[in-house]
Amino acid sequence: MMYFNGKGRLAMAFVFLFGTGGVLAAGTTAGTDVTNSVTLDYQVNSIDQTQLTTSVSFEVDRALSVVVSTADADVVNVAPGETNVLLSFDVTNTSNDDMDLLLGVVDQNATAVAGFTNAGPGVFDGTSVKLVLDVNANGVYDVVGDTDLVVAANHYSLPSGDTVPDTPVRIFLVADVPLTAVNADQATYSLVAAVANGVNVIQGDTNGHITLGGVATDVVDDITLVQDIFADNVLTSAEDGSYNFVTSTASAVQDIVSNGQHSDSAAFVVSSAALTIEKVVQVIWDPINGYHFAGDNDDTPSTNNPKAIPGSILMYVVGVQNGAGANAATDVQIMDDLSEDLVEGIGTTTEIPAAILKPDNVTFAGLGLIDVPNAADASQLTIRDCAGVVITAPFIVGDPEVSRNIGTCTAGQTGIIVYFVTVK
Amino acid sequence: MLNRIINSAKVAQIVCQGFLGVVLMAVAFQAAADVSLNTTVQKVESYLAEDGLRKTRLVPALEIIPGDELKYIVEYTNIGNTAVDKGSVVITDPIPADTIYLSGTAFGSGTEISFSADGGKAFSSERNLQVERNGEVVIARPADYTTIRWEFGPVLEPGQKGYVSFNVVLK
Repeated sequence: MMYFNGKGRLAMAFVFLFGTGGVLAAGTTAGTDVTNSVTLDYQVNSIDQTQLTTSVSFEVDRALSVVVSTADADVVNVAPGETNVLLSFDVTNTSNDDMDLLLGVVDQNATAVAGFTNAGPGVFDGTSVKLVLDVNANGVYDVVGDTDLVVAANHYSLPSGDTVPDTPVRIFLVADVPLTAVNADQATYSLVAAVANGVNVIQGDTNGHITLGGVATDVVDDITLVQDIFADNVLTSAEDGSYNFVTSTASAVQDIVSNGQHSDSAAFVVSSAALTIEKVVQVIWDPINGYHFAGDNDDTPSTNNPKAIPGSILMYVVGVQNGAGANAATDVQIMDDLSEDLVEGIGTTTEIPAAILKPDNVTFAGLGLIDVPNAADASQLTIRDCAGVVITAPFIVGDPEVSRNIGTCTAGQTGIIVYFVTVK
Repeated sequence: MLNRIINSAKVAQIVCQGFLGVVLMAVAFQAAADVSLNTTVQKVESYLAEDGLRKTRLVPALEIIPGDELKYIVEYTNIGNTAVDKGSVVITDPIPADTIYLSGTAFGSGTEISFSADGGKAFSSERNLQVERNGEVVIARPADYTTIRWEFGPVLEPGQKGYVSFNVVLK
């Protein structure tokens, strides 16, 4: 036979009633009359006596509780200048009654919030921050269709009727990212929800608990009345912010139990591409001194020391690299305006050398040693895109601008273009 | 026989006198009944004792919310001057709606306790009570219980009182 102490029994009942999710479900509706009617039958001298009955009743009180949880599994990556970026929260009335809810936003700035430790060098503040109700609950911010929540004082109110027990409401925190934000900057926001009567926060319960900024009222307990009890005593949320809905100001203090409010946090992190571009030039031949390199695809210089004199041939290499950890950059376009004193390709203004002897590598100041495609042809422009694919393309006759797309560059990838010009 | 006559008279008063009869009934009931019956409810509160252990205690059931554990106590007293027959006292208590019986909490000194899962038609011990679930007959869970019954074995002598109790949790 198994025995359970009182605590064990109740724990088992909780598992049965509410599962193991850790959130108290709404339960019996507030105001329900629970009556226990008992009967007693007995006999005297073997004769049945009139059955006795008695009963006792109580009214179920209002267990006030709300749960906020972010729907974002991780930080939300954003780019400088991006508009209408979203943090998603689910707000659930876990009370045993329909409830009005108030919402407040806390900008955590540089405060490290559990789960959203600020790993970046700085923070940014979103602009045009607002809360939006996902009206059709599709998890997508519909600019037309979803409802901007009304701001009263400095906090928000959910439309009446949207917070029936145990039915999550999706709330978006919508913001724009300033152009001044840089890679790895973070903006952490806490969404705080509090139980309310209409637009007024419920400041205290009959157990003497008060919400932030609230004033306790001396209410006599009454078994026959439906009374308010803050039931967020099983919620732990030390990582979250609080909001003083009485004065309508965000608070630096963290949420505590039994105060009729709850919060959770989510964060934007700037994750832009970090492109660097460099250009090197090398005189590889002039009509007087000859070649710079000892051979083709050979980094060994000759002793000729050709100069950039009219008729000389110069090799340009332009490299673009996306930094480690950066977002992919797509459609990377390299454009290079040529001087009017230069002509694309070779042989347009002077004699044509017997061969083009180019190096195997070039060294950039920042990008370091970069391989030059062996197939680079002085009569054409050569591209090695960020994926490493080499393409040769003809110059556009008469266009003094070199403009080529090197595709998508993911973190750490480098693309180059190589072309040759003749000095007029 | 005397009790039977008095109780019949009480019913007649109710029928004839309407609301006033209810008042008179209460007076007559106190004066004539052999057994009194009373039930109360208290909340089982968990608290941290001075010795650092978490214990429970009974407090007035003034604030009751879902998840609270409640204790119902039913008291009965032979207030007459005639003994109540041995084995004839039977207390039947439907488990209140919106609550779930907590297994192992039914108590009654000198009583045989049985349970029903069909609204009080059939009773069995907690160990043997069966229900049909998904086409199979299985041992009933506390959530299946609908009614508790206590059968007091001894004679209930004049002036003698007893009580039975059980705990539930509010859904």
